[in-house]
Amino acid sequence: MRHQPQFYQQQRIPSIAQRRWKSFRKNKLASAALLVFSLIVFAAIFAPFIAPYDPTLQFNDLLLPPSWYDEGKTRFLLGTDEIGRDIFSRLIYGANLSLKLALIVVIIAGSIGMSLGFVAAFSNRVIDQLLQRLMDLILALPSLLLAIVIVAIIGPGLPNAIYAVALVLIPHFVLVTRSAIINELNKEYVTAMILDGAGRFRLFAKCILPNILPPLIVQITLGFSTAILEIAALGFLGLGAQAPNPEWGTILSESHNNIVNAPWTVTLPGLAIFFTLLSINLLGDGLRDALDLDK
Amino acid sequence: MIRLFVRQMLMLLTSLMILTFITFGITRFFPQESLNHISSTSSQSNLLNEYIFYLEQIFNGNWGISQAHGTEVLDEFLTFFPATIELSVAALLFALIVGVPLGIFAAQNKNTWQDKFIVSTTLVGYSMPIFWWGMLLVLLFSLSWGLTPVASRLGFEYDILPVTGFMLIDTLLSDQPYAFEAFYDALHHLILPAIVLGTVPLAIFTRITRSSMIRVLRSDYIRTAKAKGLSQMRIIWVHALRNAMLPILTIVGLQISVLITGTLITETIFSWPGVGKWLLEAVHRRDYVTLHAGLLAIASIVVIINMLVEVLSFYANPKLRHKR
Repeated sequence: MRHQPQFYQQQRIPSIAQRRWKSFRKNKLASAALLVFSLIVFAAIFAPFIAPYDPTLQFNDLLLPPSWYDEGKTRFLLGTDEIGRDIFSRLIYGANLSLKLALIVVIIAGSIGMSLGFVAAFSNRVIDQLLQRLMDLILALPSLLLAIVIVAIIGPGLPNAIYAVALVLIPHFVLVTRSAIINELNKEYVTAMILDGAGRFRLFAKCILPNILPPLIVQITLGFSTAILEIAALGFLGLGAQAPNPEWGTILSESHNNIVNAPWTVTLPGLAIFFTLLSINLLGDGLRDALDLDK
Repeated sequence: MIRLFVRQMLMLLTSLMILTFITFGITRFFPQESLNHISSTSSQSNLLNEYIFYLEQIFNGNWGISQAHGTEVLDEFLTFFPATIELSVAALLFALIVGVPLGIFAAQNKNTWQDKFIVSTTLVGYSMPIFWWGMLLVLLFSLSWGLTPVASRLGFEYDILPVTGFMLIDTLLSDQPYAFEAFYDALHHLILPAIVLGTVPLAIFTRITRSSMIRVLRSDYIRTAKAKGLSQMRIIWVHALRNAMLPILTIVGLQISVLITGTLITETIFSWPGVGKWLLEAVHRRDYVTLHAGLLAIASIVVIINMLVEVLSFYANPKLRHKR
């Protein structure tokens, strides 16, 4: 495009998406976070091709340190755990598992939460107030405690942990959706559209939805990082993914006992969780700034 | 003020009411034989009657006998709860004492490298999974450098009679000859868990203080104070801080449930004999009586504290008070 001869004097006006992308790119930290997060997602998607071994395959080398130590072997890049499984492979498969679970949680919590928020914003005051109180209450409850009680009722294990974390995340989506919609409903262009005779559905789809997307996108990003953290926390407490599963929190709780003689079994899985959370949080911060362009 | 108080009380009552709906609903999913004490046994009972009976039992303090220890769960809760409060308060104090001055410092030096460093550090703290953070600090401070104990609240060599349940107070009350040494030992045990638990709130307090302080420092009355020739210290600590602290009060209220969530994990890492550890053991034993009691008690306490903080912020903030 750039090399085309300019016959006419024309000014290229960037689209809104282009402007937002440009403003996002200006934030160096957020751009770096996007790169790191893309790498993690890539590793997660292509886990079977990247990981050298099966995550449950056991070797005779127990508690081998990472390869850059003198005692380490290059066969096992990040060493092995207490029953001789390759830590690198387990972490790569763990990325796959964690991101997949968090995605499911966000899809469940997001769809339920946004629908409830939609209902709250468009319904009468009594229902709205009741929903508000209920959501405030669930928000006030310690999230992990609620998740633990739910897991205690339906039993430990991965699917149940997903339901529990999703339930805990729903109120955030409800509150954000509701306040975003009500915020827009009070604006004049919405009144104009109502005066033009737009029905409820048209009003929502054509007029409100595009304008509430930015806060929803930010909330989805934050929900994603919360989901990863809570699933890992449940796994660490022995209530989420169970033992042979290469879930990051579960790996950490297994290696808790080896903290003295094999510290790398603790530090490495933690670093994986930490970098994933950090990149998502930075990404969310950058998105919030970039999407806030008009204000 | 009275109207406000009545309104808050009504909101508190509704919240507690909804809470009992939830816990009552949850008990219906528990195996029936575990909750005989709170489920009505009469044959012609309907849902409403059962709920009323449930409320009566709760109010009479009949919360059941724990399956594991055979004692009243309410008593058990009260023996474990002080340890949790001690840890949470210590963590909260740590977060406030470090976080607020850090936020003020960052606001004063806005957009310098110090400010940028502090802001990015808070993001790191915010993203820290505390179960890993706890293990890292144990690895570093306890195992490598031997600075702090690894677990529990007090060394085994001390025999302290529990009076209040708060170890720091009990050691001072004790008439043993080693009371003071025991106090230092208890303090020693408290430091690392409190830092671990306080990290996430610390990051949040720093960010909030910074943004709130920047907003206040831009206002006209601060310019007036500067024009009067007041020193920077005086402007910050006497004039600006009061107004900048208002949002922090609200955030402290919101952090209570985050702290309780954190204690569940911190207590597991440090074998801290508090409510979190007690509840987790109950989950593994399928002790539904204990779980129900723990959920109801902790949730009510959090709701009540939130209400108190809200009243306090109304009291402290004339803007909110005169709005309606």
